[in-house]
Amino acid sequence: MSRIISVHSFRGGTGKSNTTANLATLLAMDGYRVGVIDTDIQSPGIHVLFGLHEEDMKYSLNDYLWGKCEIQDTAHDITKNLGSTVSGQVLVIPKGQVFLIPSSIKVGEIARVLREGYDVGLLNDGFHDLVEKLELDVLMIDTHPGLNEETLLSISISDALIIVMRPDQQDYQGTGVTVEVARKLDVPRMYLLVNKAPTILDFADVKAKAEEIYNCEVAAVLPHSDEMMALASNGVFVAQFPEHPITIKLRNLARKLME
Amino acid sequence: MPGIFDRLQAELGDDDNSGGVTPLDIADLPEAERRIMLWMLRDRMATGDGITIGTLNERMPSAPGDILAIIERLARDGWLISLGEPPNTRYKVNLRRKRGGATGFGLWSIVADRLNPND
Repeated sequence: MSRIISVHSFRGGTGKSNTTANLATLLAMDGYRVGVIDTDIQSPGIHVLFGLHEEDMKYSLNDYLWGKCEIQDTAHDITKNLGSTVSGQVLVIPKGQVFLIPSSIKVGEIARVLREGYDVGLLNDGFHDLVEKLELDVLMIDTHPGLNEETLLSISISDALIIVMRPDQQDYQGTGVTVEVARKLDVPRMYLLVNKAPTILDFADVKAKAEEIYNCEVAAVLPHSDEMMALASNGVFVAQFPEHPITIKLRNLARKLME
Repeated sequence: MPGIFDRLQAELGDDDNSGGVTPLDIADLPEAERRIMLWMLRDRMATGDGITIGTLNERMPSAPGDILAIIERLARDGWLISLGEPPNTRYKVNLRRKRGGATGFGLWSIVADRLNPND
């Protein structure tokens, strides 16, 4: 049975898109067909992680919302970009596939969608059509930070929601709002992911406190990583560092999502 | 003092359902109505061409017993769109269109104009 998984954060800069890209890649490594849709229409970015360039985007989510194409026409198979090489040796080749549905990165098109709005019902049809037409095992939705129409819709229809947060007071408050909304929308499974945690913190204590505050399972506490910073979005971390401790924690989360 | 849902609702628009509803509206419904609306949002058949009450009864796990009355009320109040004629009327969630606005657009518009002044 296919699943829809949303990755959300209340504030920007939590590592939400990196988390989405990493989980999608790990699921593909486990043999799943994975779709990733970038609903961050006003500030798209996940295409960079997957190495998809503007000139290679024939259609984007914006084109679908404007009726220019079918939703499946916007899907780009970026699996080949996920095979990492070190010293000429290919380390990782996903057994499954990853399809990216990017949002437009053309300034005029971003301005247009913000000016005109769009049909949210059509977006929902698109989510379901993608799962069916691409025969996906998983559709991952990378959302815009905060709570807007597309974010609320993606939370509403998700089988699982991952809320990414940093151990920061502003994130703590905003995450509480998201958790409350998700509960009212009866999301079947919800996990917190505490990201970019300073290594001086006691991670077990961070996990326990977050679980107490939100009454929600913390799936992982991930440390700030110099390797990830140095990668600077020039690729998907788990493909470049398949045995890194962060990769191992994310792989555990990916597998938990498919249980 | 308004709660967090009131403030979010104010951000997304007014409470007039004639132009459709948002998931926040659905979150505030009584349990039976909320369960039906969320199930319809999540079901492939119900999101595409809409779903008949008969099919909804067959497919929705533990559907409320008075589903006909609930669906008719939701449709009458603008929460659902009715498609086709009885007895084959199909229903789908009447999601409100995302409104355009000056917030955010203004900045991108200026950038677009500067980059592509002839567009």
